[in-house]
Amino acid sequence: MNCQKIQQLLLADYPDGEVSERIKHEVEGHLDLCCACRQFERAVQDAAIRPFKQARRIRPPDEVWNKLKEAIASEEQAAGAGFLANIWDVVQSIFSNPKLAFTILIMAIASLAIMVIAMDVHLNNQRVVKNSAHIEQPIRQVKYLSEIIGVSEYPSDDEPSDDKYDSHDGYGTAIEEYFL
Amino acid sequence: MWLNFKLEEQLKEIPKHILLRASLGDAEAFEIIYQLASGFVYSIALRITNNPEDAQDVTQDVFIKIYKNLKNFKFFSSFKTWVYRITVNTALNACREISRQISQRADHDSLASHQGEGDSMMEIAAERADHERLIMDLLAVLNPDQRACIVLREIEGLNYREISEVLNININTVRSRLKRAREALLAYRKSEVMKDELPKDTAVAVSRLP
Repeated sequence: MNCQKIQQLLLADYPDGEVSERIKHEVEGHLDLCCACRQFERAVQDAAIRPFKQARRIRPPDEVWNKLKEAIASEEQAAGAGFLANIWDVVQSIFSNPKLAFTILIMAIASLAIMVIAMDVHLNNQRVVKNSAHIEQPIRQVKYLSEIIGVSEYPSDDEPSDDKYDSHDGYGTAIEEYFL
Repeated sequence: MWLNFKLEEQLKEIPKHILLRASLGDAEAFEIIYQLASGFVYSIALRITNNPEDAQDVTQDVFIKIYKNLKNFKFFSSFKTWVYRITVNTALNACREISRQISQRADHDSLASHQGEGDSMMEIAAERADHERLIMDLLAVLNPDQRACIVLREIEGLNYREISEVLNININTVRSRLKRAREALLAYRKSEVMKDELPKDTAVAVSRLP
């Protein structure tokens, strides 16, 4: 490496520890032999690197924290007021446009009607389910009577229904057999 | 006012539970974050803007941004890197805004008023400790982008990869900005550092610097 290349490395990479071990040894070997580059390195260190090593971290004055607290409080207040103001602006903009207001009104009425119909259907379904409990009683009575007379349209749970119908050739149902 | 750098270095990462509490709006946790991070935020802002008043404004802006965006912080990167990024970007934007205002003022103000401004800056600088004044003088030689690179490298001790992540630039750009910054500093101080001890060929190399 010539002096120009070495001096480029002395400005960046080498003083920041960003060179490989091989390059580092090469630069150090060159500096041992070259007085000009050695003094260039010293000049770079004195002018551009060493002064910053003395730099200290500085805390901000206390007033910064106080101002910050005030700024955050006012931001939050503005955000809250801004949210309400936005809602009010939207409402105002809707009612300032008659067509838009009419459309929204129609949509609201339609939504309300759909909701009422849906509620009505739901209540009707519930009523039907309740009434179905009363239907079971007469079914049980018919079943009992048919058992007394020895014919059952309603087969009992312990007797498979298929066997009963299969035993009467060509007559179809048990009630048919009874009348014929 | 002054903090021991090594002591501050021990506060590398703020505990996660403090960050989570602050993200949920816990004012006490946010104050802890401010106490731990305000030193390095203000220092970086001060070095990049090179002006205490601007640095205070930048610090305030940075912490408002942290407060607003902490709930979106996902812990994919370190909190410190995130804060570095916010701080450097806010400070660079402040520099751009200040230089825009100065150039606008330059169209209207007389030369005499600028002379007065320079004097007051000199007075402020005169009140500072010697090494602080030297650092401010050196940083004033650089443009804001070079300043950010020098501050992150020399004062914060970040490596090239970390600087490229914070500034969101290529590593080669970091390298070239540092090189240009050091060339500018060497040229600025060549009368002091060269004296009469540099050999002829080194003096020629330095004299070629801008």
